[in-house]
Amino acid sequence: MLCLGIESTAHTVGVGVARQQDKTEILANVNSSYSPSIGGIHPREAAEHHVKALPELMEKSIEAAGIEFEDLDVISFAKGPGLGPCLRVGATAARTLALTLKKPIIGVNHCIAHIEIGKMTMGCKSPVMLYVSGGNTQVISYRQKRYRIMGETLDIGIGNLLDKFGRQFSIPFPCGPRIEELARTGKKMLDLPYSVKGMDVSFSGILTSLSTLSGEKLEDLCFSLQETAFAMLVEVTERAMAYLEKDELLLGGGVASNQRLREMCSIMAKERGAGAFVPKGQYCVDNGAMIALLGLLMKDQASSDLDRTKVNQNFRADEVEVTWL
Amino acid sequence: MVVRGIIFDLDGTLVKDNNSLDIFNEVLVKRGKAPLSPDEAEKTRGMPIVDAFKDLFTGDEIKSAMHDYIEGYKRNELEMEVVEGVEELLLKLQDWGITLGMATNRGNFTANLILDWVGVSHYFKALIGGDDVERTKPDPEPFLKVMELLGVSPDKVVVVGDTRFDIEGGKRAGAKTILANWWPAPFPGADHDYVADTIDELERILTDLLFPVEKRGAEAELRYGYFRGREAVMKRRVKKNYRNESLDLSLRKRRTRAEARLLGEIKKMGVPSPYLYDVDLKNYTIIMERIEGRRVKEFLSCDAHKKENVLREIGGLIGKLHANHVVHGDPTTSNMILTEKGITLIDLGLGEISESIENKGVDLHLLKEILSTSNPGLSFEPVIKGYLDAYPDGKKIIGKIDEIEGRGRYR
Ligand SMILES: Nc1ncnc2c1ncn2[C@@H]1O[C@H](COP(=O)(O)OP(=O)(O)OP(=O)(O)O)[C@@H](O)[C@H]1O
Repeated sequence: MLCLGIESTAHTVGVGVARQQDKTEILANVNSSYSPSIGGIHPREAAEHHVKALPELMEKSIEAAGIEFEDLDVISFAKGPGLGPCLRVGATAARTLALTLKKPIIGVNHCIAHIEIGKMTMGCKSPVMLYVSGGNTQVISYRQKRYRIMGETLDIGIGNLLDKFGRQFSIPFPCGPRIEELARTGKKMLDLPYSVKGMDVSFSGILTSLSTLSGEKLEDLCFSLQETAFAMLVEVTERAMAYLEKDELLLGGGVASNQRLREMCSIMAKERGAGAFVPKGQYCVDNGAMIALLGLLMKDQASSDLDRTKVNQNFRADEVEVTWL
Repeated sequence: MVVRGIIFDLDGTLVKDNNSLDIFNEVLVKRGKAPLSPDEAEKTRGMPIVDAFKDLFTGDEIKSAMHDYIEGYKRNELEMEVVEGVEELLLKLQDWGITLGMATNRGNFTANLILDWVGVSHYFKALIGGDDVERTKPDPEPFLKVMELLGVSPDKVVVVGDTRFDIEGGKRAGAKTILANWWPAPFPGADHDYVADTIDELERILTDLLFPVEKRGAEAELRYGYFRGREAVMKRRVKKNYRNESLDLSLRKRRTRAEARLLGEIKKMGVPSPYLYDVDLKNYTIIMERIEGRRVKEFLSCDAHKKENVLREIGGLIGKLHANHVVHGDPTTSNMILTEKGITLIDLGLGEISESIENKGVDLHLLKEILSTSNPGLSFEPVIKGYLDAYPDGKKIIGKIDEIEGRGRYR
């Protein structure tokens, strides 16, 4: 069984191929990212980039997998959550491919794809996932037939916080890596609003507060921002682990490449006697492979009914009934 | 086996004696001997005075030296001080219902005199001095005698002392041992079970021995113990090494304070909650009433019937809090204990006093989320009914929930 999956929820467009025989494996994972010359993501520009990049990515993925298009059994794409214009590019490409090949198609949830690729590549079984990316900040775990959102941001996502802060202080996009670098030499811990409500967090107060601290060194701002915001994330993740009595922590999403966040997660897990799992970089960020993998897991629900391939910008993980676990 | 009694050594462990060497030397000089230097005196530390005299005198001279020594004690202003923090520790141990005894190689009379002098004698239920036994420390005899007087068996006793005499004797008596290591010259090579470099460390070691951790939440360690005769829970917010140290300290302090304060506040409103017994900000610890029951989390996951009443009651309690402008902050089903008399709310560390509709709305949103994620299909209606019964003005808060839910979504 072979599945080709297309990811295009935000600024990355990617195509992956996954195969299920005795075991499930990733055969190809090729991606291309749009980076705006100035400012944050412009959805329409990103979508244009995806349209241009997709044909070549598809060819490349088939080549890398060592198969022919005709060998594919099912086509999957990320149905959401994400930016409308970007999502539609992936959905359209997937539909076209499915129609041409006369193969069933399935739209999958992007957040669940992150969990499944993490579980598969890291070998953890029933983790609590801290999913941190540009627009998404959620603590997710499986319980009674669904992936449940145990906690999330009440306002902006962590990646958004980093980018908005970066823009205010003229840090080039993508701001995350640069902020991480600057934070390494920061020492002074500034007092920023620490807003944790149960398993939810709120970041907008930090952003407001940072913009009033103009007299401070940029390094110290970055340092304090990371220390405060990441501590909030790790705290709510730990609270979810305690509540659900789980002993595996899985990290996913673009912000998961941050070394300090990884370190904090590992320390927390270790002190709880739990395991921390951080997928390899290419499987942490948005990628086509995870969409292909989830397509395989959900192949029974794939169909040729195109009405079921509408994108859903606010698609939540808990809307999907999990049939494959 | 959990420790129930503690036997302390006196000199060097609980008190610092600033002039006993002077008194000792006075006796020597009077008999034409050279006084001991502080270094020489160090060698006799922990030894019964009479043994020290035995090395220097013979026959009746030993007796008369002892006599002069005791007279010297009576005559001189005592220059004794309690090691800093000892009184607080003894008071705590007493509050926690731990039996305390003392085994010293000093004579019973001077030992009692010193305890009275520094004002801590009432903490000790039994005292055995060097002259109360056939064989002094490091023989186990004094320890066994104290245990007998306290009525605690050796396996439930820990001995705290600063010398080899205490560690060896305690061990031979069958007790656990802690070396009090705050004497300037560290005591060489004793075979102790634990070592405490400060009184704070001693307190931590004793707490672990007396009350093992029963539960570990996300933030806190919980121990079951006693407070002035009542069953109690000790909740200590522990250090989180993943977060910046100054942030960690300020969060733990702030939350310990908030929890203590709110426990008192909501009790006044008639919301069932544990009685607050004691707060120890230094150790980020709250001591409170122990609530017997099952968490609502467990209840909801198995008992199908009667759910609606419980949900209504939950709504009623949160409504009552909000009507009185208290926001719980973490209203999950693991923070509600179902007792015979109804639901008791715990864990208010994230709570605050707030009139804000937004904050109350988030509180309700959290409750709704946890109910729907952990009990899919459960209706939130009974919660709302109970909430509005207790807080008729709460309609505007209910209206806020949808708005809040919409915000975190991808835009
Ligand atoms: N007063 C009490 N009486 C009896 N049991 C208690 C009491 N307080 C707490 N507990 C038990 O200890 C557990 C953890 O306590 P608590 O929720 O206060 O700690 P926490 O670390 O702040 O938890 P979390 O942050 O995970 O919600 C509770 O779920 C409950 O079972």
